[in-house]
Amino acid sequence: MRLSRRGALRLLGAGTVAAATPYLAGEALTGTQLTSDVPLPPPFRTPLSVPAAAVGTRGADGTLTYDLVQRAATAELLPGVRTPIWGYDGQFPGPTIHSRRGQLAVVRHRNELPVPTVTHLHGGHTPPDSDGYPTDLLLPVVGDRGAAAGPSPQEQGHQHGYADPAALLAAGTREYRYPMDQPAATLWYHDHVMDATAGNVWRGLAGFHLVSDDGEDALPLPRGDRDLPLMIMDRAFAADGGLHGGGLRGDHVAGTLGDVVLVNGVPWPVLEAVGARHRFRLLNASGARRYRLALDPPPPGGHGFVQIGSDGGLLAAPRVHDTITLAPAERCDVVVDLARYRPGSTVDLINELGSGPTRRVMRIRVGARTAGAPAVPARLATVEPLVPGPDARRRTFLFQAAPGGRGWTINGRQFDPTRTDADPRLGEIEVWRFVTDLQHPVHVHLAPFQVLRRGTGGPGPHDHGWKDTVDVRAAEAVTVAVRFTGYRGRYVLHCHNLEHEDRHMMATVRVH
Amino acid sequence: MRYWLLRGLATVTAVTGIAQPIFAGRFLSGSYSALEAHRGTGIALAGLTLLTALAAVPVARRERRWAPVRMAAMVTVLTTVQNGLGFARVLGLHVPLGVLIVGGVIGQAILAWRPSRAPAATTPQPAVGPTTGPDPTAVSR
Repeated sequence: MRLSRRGALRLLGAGTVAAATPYLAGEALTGTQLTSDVPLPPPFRTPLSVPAAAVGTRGADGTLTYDLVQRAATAELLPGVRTPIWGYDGQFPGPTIHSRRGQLAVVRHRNELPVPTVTHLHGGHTPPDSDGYPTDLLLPVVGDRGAAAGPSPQEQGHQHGYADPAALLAAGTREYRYPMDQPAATLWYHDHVMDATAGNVWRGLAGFHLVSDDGEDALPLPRGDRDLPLMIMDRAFAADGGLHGGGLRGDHVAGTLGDVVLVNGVPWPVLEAVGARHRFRLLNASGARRYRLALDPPPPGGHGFVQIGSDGGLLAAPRVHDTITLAPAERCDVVVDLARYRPGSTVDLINELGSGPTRRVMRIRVGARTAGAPAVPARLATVEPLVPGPDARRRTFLFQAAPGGRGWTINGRQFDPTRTDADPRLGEIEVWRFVTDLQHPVHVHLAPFQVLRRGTGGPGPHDHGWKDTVDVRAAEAVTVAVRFTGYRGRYVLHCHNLEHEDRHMMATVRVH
Repeated sequence: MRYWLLRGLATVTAVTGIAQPIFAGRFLSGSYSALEAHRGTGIALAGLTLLTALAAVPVARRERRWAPVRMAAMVTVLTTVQNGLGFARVLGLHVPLGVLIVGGVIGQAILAWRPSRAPAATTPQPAVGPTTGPDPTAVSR
């Protein structure tokens, strides 16, 4: 009797441990999961679409000028559901801008939205006055055709509560000038306004900006309709079809997680693709959600993803992966050889960190095998390693919740545009260490960086090449080498969980 | 002598074990060197728990009480598992297991410092400390 009772207790204990282990061992997402109030459409019904290319006008010196209008529009994101959005040219996502290395691109934004905006070219090597510092507001067009009878831009800025005497304000339209002095890469542009980025991006203010160069052109990579930018984002929808949670003063201090996965604005799309190599430029444009993408089923022999590029451009040499982890704002440029699947196969791009609807991303229906790009070459680009000297300046940035839990801090301080938090010298390599409490994707403006260490080991599998955003998981330390070149001035470093950014997990980096 | 070896090892192990959450807390306060100390100490702790378990064997043999050895062996196994979980960043298991291990190393240090007791099955004898002379049942080897 005594023994059996002890046995029963042991069994109960072992059972509890066994039941709790998968839950305890799993990776949690940082954010609040929202549930849509409209019935979710069945997945894999709508064909994948690719955002239209923005049409620029070419000046005599080769400069391409694009005009984009930020405005409210109605989009049909879910079939049969009309959703009010804010979009660049009213599109969700915005039009794709194509740039050439070394060729100045001018993007003229006109703000017809009811709120001030700021546009940031994410990953761009951009002078400070065009980088989209959060208080450099583009105020809405005033009245009819900008007939400004009201307060001056400076006064309007103060009305909006951003007391930053150094802010560069503009009313109605602003020209962002991008020298594009950087290698071929998958960049994106999105809203970056002080305190309201999460809501503005959630409503649709995001688009691709792709840079090409001669080195990339010389490589035998998949092109044309086999070179697909894929903007992955999660959203939730309210009963009236509107985006749920778009109210930026929501209560999601940890981050906003949707239950619909959109790829280029299409919920769980299906891609009909021939059996040949395809290039997927994967971008996680979600506000808070991390993804671990995998091919289901994996191709025979595994290693379905051949990574050719990271945030800042091509890797020196390709790297193979079974899964691709993407924190918000990270990009991963991969080649997938669909000829490894039998014609007629169905392959799902799944998200191993999701559950239920957020586990699905996209379906690929593989067609007949077709001649296409050859195997990815062993050498892709020259990536100069950043080697910090023994007396390189070292800085630590601690990303933590603010006391009381209503906001977020870096080194114990919330963002203040009038304060400089780091003052790197132009052209010098520094060693920066990011330490986190929860998961924080850390983004540095202007300078791409290279990961030196993750935790107590070397770089992780997805840390190679030029990065501008690094996935720092909960209670983790990532060390990077960074060098600011090209421009002196005021930039930011921040968490790219947009709710954290809006709640002041941001610091000013003044390059001097 | 065998008692003092066990006591010394168990004490060092307990102090090392208690240091681990302190290093973890310092790391979470932003100190990277504390993370490296946490890693190094974790590896050292795996060795120390093993040595403590081995040192517990002659004492157990003498006292015919094997529960402390079983406990030390369990702590040794858990510490090794704990290191694997830490390197794999399975923090949801790493933290509660760490709490258990700290409890374990403190417990075995307390056991090591307790005055020894005669095995219940032998003829009653006065409670003796480890210095009251050799136990006839323990000298056969």
